[in-house]
This record gives sequence, structure tokens and C-alpha cells, in this order.
Amino acid sequence: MVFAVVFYLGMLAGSLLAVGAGALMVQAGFEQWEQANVLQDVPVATSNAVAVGEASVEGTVRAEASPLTVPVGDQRCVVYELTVEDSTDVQPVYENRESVSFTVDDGEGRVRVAPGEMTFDLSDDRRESFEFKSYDEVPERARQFHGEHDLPDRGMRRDREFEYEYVRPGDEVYAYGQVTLDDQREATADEKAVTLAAGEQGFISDKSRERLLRERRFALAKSVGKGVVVGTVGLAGFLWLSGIAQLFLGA
Amino acid sequence: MSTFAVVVVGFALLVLLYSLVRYLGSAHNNLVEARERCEKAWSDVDVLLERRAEEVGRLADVAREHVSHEREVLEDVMEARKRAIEAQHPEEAADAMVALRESVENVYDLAGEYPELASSERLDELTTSIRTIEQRLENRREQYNEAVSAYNARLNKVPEWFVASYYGFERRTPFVASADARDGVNVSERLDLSADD
Repeated sequence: MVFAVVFYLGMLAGSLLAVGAGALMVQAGFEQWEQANVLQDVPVATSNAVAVGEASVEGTVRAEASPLTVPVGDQRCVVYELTVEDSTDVQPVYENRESVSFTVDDGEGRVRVAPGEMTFDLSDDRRESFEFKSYDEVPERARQFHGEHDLPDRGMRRDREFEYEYVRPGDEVYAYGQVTLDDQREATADEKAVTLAAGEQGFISDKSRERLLRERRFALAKSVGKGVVVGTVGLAGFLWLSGIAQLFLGA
Repeated sequence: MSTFAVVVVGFALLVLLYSLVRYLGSAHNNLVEARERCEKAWSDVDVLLERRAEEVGRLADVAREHVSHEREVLEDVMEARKRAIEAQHPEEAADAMVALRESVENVYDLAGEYPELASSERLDELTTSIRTIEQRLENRREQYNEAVSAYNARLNKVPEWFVASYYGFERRTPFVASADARDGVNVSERLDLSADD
């Protein structure tokens, strides 16, 4: 009996979540489409000609300080984002991004990049994850991290997943954002005193511009299609399971 | 059809309608943004054109100190510089750029004839400065042309084509200098500075 109630409530919540997921898919489709427009319309600026305002740059990542190490991995990087998710929570229980100062070198000079708020679109080579069940021991690589951070107790229900992505020195990247003057630094022969930051929709990727464009082809149509189907099925399920359809809508 | 089916199908249609309206609205925004990118890319070019005109003015001043009797060459430089400063559009700027380069070449020719001019330290500095600016100008000119190309391509796409026709968006002209101007002036060769490079 208890199982049936839990199952019913789970289905009800699931159907509501499906409506939200559908809306998010539509939104994600528009975001991808906007990125595709940026990739098509914003010329790649050479480092010596980059100007204040919207810009995209391509080149090799050069660390300006000692690289970081991903806390639960051994990869040396200039920026990483680590997320910890529990099976019981919709929101991540831990999220953090850290970076050291780095530049993108296009062969003619360098442009400093501040990846703070940039969206990542990294290849599988630069993304890793591992998970463990609530009854498993914490893996060796995550033990120190667990000790240093105040994560929720796993009890008997929380399966935990660590996900991280990172950009390494030497990676070839494409970055889009807003260039601003950096008053704190002096310009040098091969580096102007400017910084490329996220702006409204900045992103950084270790994929080529062509590949990024290819991945976004028809992204809007696909996402809207999926979003409509998932959202509509979710709504129908919710109305049916909650009894609203039978009581008020003549089903 | 039951009310339930109407609600469910209506929801799906509503999401589709929202997506369509947002898509069409974005088409207009994309055009405006693409046009603004062209404007911005042009203003980035314009800044360097002005800076180069300033440096050419200084170059003419240096030349005047040593060869003030070569009035015709100096007047040509100042006239070309004035045209470059007054150019408002890419077409005018491209023509002015060619004229300015030719007149600057004539000043470098003078340096070949008058050793006291060629040995001027200030001339060396200005030569380096103009060379740097021209390299950056060439890069920004390419960026401007890419922005124009993207904007013009957008004008031919659906649904932007309909929006462009309705709002009167017009094609833009790329900044194309003549082949001579694009090749640039080999300053080192003209001043026999290759040993310094």
C-alpha cells in the first residue's frame, strides 16, 4: 500500500517535472540557436586587432600562473568546474568553478580570458565523472574532498555523482564574450591590456568553430520538437493522474 | 473532442506558437545585431584610419624639416591625409587609403634621395608605427568584411529576408582596397632597412 502511494506521488511529481523539462528544452534550443548566430556572425578577432566590445578569439591556452589541479582528479588545468549531485536532490549539493589567469595565444599575440561566468561547451576528453552508491565507501580520489567540504550525509538513500570539466594549458579553444579594458595591467608588445569576459552569453569551448556550428545545426527545431512532446505528455499525465482531467475536463 | 484533449493539444500549440513568435522576433534582433556589428567593426577600423592619418601628418612634418623644397610631394601627402580623415564610408575610405599610401610612398622615395631624411631617427619611429598600424588595420579590415559578409548573408535567409524587406535593411559594402593598396608598401625595402629587421 505504502509502495503504491509512493509510486503514485512519484508519477505525479515526474509528470510535473516533465512539463518543466519540456520548457527547459525549448529554452535550451533558443540558447543554442543564439550561440549558432554568434558563431556565424561574430568574426574571430586577431589578438593585435581585438577591440573593446563583443568579440571572439581562437588560439592556444597559455597559463599565466601555476596551473590548478582538479580536486578529485589529477588533471592540471587553467579552469575547472566541479559539480556534486545526489540522487535525492534536484539541485547539485556542491558546485564550484576555479581558474587561474590565462591567455589565448593566436600566434600573433595573446588575449587574456576571464572564464568566470562563461558557459562551457567542452569535448568528452575534457569532461569526467564518477559515481558511488549510498552504501559504497567513498572512493579514494574523493575522500579528501569529502573531508574538507560540508557535503550532506549520504545515509542509506543518497547515491552521489561527481562531475567535472576543465581546460588545460595547450588546449586549442574558441572563446566568445565581451572585451573590456583592463586598467590593472600594462599593454605589452604581444598582449593588449584587455580582458575577454563572459558578458551576457559568453562561452568557451575546446572544439573548433566549424564543429560548434555543426553541432548547433537544427538545434532549435530539435529542442522545440522534443520540448513540446515531453511537456505535452507531462501535462497530460499530470492532469490524468491528479484527477483534474476526469473531474473538470470531461475525460 | 473532450475538453481534456483541447487543453493538452492547446498547450502543445501554445508552446509552438511561443517558439514561432520568439523565432520571428529573434530574426529581427539578429538583423539589428548583425548591422550593429558592422557599425562597430567599421568604427574599429575608423579609429585606426584616424591614428594612421595622424602618424602620416607627423611623417610629413619630419619630411618638411629636411626637404621643405619638395612642396608638391608634401602637399600631396597633406591632401591625401585630409581625404582620409574626411572619409565617412568604406568606399571613400578605400579610395582615400590608396591615395594616402601612394603619397606616403613618395615620401619614402624622398628618403632614398635625401640621406639626411633617411637617417632621421624620427622617420624610423614613424615608419615602424605606421607599419604596425597598417598591420592592425588589415586585420580589422578583414573583421569588418567578415561582419559585412555575415550581415549580407543574413539578408538572404528566411525569415530574415521578409523582415529585411519590411524594415528596409540594405546590403552593405565591404571595405575593399585596390590590389596595390592591399599589397602595402614595403617600407624596409624602400628605406633599405632590411639589415635592421
